[in-house]
Amino acid sequence: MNAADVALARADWQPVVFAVRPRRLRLLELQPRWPLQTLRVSVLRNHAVEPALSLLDPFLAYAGFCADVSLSGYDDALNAPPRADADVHLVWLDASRYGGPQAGSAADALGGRLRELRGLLSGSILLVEAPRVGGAQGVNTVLRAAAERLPDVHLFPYELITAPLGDTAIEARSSAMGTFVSGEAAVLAAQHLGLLWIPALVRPRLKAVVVDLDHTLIGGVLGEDGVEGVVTAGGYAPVRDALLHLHGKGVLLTLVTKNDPVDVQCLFTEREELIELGRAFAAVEASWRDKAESVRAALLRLHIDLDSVVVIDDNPGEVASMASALRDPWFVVARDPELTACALTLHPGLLALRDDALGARRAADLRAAEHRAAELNRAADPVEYVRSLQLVAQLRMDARDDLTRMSELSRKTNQFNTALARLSETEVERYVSDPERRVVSIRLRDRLSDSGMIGVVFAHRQEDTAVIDEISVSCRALGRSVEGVLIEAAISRIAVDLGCPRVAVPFTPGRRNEPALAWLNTVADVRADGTYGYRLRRGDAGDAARCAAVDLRWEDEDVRPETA
Amino acid sequence: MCDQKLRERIARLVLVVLGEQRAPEPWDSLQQIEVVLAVEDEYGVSIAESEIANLRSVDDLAAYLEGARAAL
Repeated sequence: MNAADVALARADWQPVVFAVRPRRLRLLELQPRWPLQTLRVSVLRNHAVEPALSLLDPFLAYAGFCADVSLSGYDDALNAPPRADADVHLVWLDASRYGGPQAGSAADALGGRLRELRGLLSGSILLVEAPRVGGAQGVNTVLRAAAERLPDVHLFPYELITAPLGDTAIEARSSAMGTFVSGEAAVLAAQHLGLLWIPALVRPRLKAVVVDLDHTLIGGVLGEDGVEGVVTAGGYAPVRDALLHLHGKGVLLTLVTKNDPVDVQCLFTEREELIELGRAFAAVEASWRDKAESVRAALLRLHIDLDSVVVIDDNPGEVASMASALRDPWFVVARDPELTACALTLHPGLLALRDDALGARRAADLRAAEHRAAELNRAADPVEYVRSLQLVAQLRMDARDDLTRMSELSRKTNQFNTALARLSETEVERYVSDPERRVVSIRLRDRLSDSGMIGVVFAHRQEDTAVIDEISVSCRALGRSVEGVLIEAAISRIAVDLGCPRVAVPFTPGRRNEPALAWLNTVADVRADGTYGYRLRRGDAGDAARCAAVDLRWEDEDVRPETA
Repeated sequence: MCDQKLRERIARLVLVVLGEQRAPEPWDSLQQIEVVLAVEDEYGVSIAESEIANLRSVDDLAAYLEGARAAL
């Protein structure tokens, strides 16, 4: 199948998988016609979860996965040996089995076992919140604590997801059905697990939503109906709400429309209900040119790769044409505003597993980058201009509270990434705690914006060599000519800390990481084994920082064990 | 005698739900739960807890649905 066929085949599924109440039989009738990536899912449970798991396949298939599921026996203590190579471990418990006089000690034992499992397993762990039946409060307290404190352990908010069902979320015939999860609740749980939660555990989050205007964000055609004639009420209000929610969670919103740019500007300034959304757009491309070209131009401005976006358009022909030209984005055909709103809520890749405070400031950071580029163009002395930015970099060694963001950078960065290792929180945690490993996180701010954490360097000691396992730098940090200085400072400190006179940087070529290779070629020599021998400079890394006009500050917070 | 069309629709439903070329009868308890949930969803009925254990074949389900229809 070519990209257009895949986009249209997925579009045929959208009314079924994004339905408010998906129908069991319609789901089971779906047969994917696009390539699927195998995902190993291990399920630890103490009750019958088959009514939900039997529906996972169609939702995961929409997201591009084929699940290889292994189920434990019914095991309240979770003592069954889990599948060690699973990508995702799903823990789904019937809390009523932990009630009674021993409830407290049972919950304690469960908490202890979850900590053990986290230490044993490398895959992500997803804990399903228990329905509110006997024993749920104690069990859910344990599950929440594990999700808050343990790396790469997350809580699936079952109660929130099934709340629209009211009392019917609980199976009244639990003794016959083997579970408190009702049939309707099972469908919703499978929908959210398969579309949102499981994909979010194994793939980087999408960075942007590109949305069309006519018949997608508004009813009618702006060019024909005029600013006052288009429809914004009814189903279009939830579409705006869903977009603004995503904006608040750090997803960049982009408007791409074939319309007169002046009309579009008037629409978003004169229609009061659209003003907030208009301000939320990080990029607007309103013109009569080819839509694929407009999407490409908008994403170039935002430094976003095509495979990190979902494009929403009401015209299937336009979707097919864009898919042919662009290939990589996800596409949703906006058949009606209700479906569009559901797709914006449930589309794979849009869920933020943790609060993304840094992501939420991404739009402001990008505006600052455009401002910087314009100022630099006008500057008589570019070096003096960079100095005037008052750059401040903060570097931290082995900062445990940066685990989530360090993992995100490893998983999301495509261009300046030396290894494409896609490290999970659990794997990053090992760099923080292992005395033979180091990880440095780098934050950057200037007078125009605080970019937050923009880089991370992972390393381990191998005899007398510090092996740099991965360097990831966000593209938002590039363009100020300081990334080299910051990485050098991090590597120098790691080499000293590990007591290594030599530094090696293995490089894994990918589709888009030429910028990392270009940098590597300026600072390292290729060795016979294909790795790069980094030319470690003697002396004060601060000298280079002073030359690059960046105020470089180290902050060591964690005390770690002595290196063996 | 069951409505033949209803029986055929249920037989097809069972094949889709159980994902097998030929649905085994009687089903095991987990298969039965999945079939019951699909029938409830498709026909908008709620099968009483006491009835679930008796519905072990396509004919059982067809007869149950005909009875439910007649009771309306």
